[in-house]
Amino acid sequence: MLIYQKLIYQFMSHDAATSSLLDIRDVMFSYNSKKKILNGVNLTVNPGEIIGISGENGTGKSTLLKIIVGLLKPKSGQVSPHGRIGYSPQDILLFDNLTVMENFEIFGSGLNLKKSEIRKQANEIMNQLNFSQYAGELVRNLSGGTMQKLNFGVSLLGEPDVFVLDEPYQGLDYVSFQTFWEIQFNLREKGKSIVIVSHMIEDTSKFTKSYHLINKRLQGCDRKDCPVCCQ
Amino acid sequence: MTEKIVLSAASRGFVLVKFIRLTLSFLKNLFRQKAIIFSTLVLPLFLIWSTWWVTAEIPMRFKLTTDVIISQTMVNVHLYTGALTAMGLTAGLFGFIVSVENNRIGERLELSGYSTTIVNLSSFLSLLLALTTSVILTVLFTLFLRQPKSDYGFVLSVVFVALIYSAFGNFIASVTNQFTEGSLIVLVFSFIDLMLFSNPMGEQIYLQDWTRFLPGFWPTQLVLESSFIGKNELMSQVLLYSILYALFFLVAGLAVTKIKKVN
Repeated sequence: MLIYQKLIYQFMSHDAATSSLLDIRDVMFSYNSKKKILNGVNLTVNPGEIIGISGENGTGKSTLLKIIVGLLKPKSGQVSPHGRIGYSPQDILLFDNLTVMENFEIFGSGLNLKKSEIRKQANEIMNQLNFSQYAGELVRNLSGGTMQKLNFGVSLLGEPDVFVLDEPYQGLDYVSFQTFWEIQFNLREKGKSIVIVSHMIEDTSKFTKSYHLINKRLQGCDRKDCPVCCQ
Repeated sequence: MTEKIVLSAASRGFVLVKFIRLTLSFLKNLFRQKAIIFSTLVLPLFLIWSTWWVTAEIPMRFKLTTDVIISQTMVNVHLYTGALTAMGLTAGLFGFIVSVENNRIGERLELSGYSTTIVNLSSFLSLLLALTTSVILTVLFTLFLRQPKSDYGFVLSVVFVALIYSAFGNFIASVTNQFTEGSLIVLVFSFIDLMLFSNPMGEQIYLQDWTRFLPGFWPTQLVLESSFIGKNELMSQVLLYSILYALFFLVAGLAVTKIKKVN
């Protein structure tokens, strides 16, 4: 089954290579002039790809994602998105004293969605991720896992073309973890792309492409001969 | 051409709706926090009462910028300037803490389609609206303790200090998001300004030329003039300076936020 899935991914990636959703070319970034965090980072994200980026703590994974979504500007190089990007940050960035639905409403409103449309999408997302019973609950009263679901759920609003997810399954239980992946596969089937960053990517078969962030740049991982982690 | 105008009007409408919705959300998020009761209500009342309670009825004489000489007891002077200090401290601290929290979530809001300016302005407006309760209480409590000659001037000086110092807190939040550092800067600066340098209690420094550039100087002059003389000659000057100061801190905060993003 996994080999079959993998073949489909490869086919889709090849087919869509000409119309990428995101292109990163030779990106360099440093927080101060002395120490480079990223140097010569290249990445192409095609429709229907699920890309995994792993690396040790402090290697610049979250920084790379912030550059992709536009929260940080690279010192040199180019980031060219060809579609809307949805972002689920590593830290839970939500209004703690608003309810789950109110959070969906305020973030959806930024995307110029009508209230009825936001509610429809929010209900679908909550049902999929199995936390619709908390729609009227204040975020500060939610468990860590449910907050993480909402953090991820908000990024699904407005159906972006590329999802950029920073450590998205932290705090999720096993069932939610499985659901999370079902959603990723559904999104991929719709031609959406997903970039997932994690310090640990154990099950590399779920990804179309895997990369390790080592020595300030992305190194492709072909699993069999990967010297880093995938044995 | 007509299409363009319609589109532009529609887009302005969208921006306004977004601005109002975001302001209301920030406000709702604020009023559902228990800490707000302490920071905006209990803190100023405690500061005003304690300042009034510990000060003796010692006579004192001081001048205003208008060269009018006022003879009053220290406790009376301390009560009104204490009310301003309490308001400045509360507005500054509250402004800083709320802005740090809102800036954190602001990044995500911007990715959801809100502009940096809308996020900052909504955050600041919600802050001002939340501080209204604090201003009302500060005024009522001070009036309960002593009656100034002109209520009008006293009330406006409290409002001006709230405006200036909430903008100052907002500005500090754009410079640092560290709670300890930021709170300390706001506390020390507002105290030194309103309780020492702009205040006739700080005899050695009071009315030196450079103190006129302190954000609390003109509201303090107004509160003294209106409370003890009953005139509001300085009103237009104070209004102008206060708005300029608040705008300066607000624009500086926005500029720092944008510069940080670029770098």
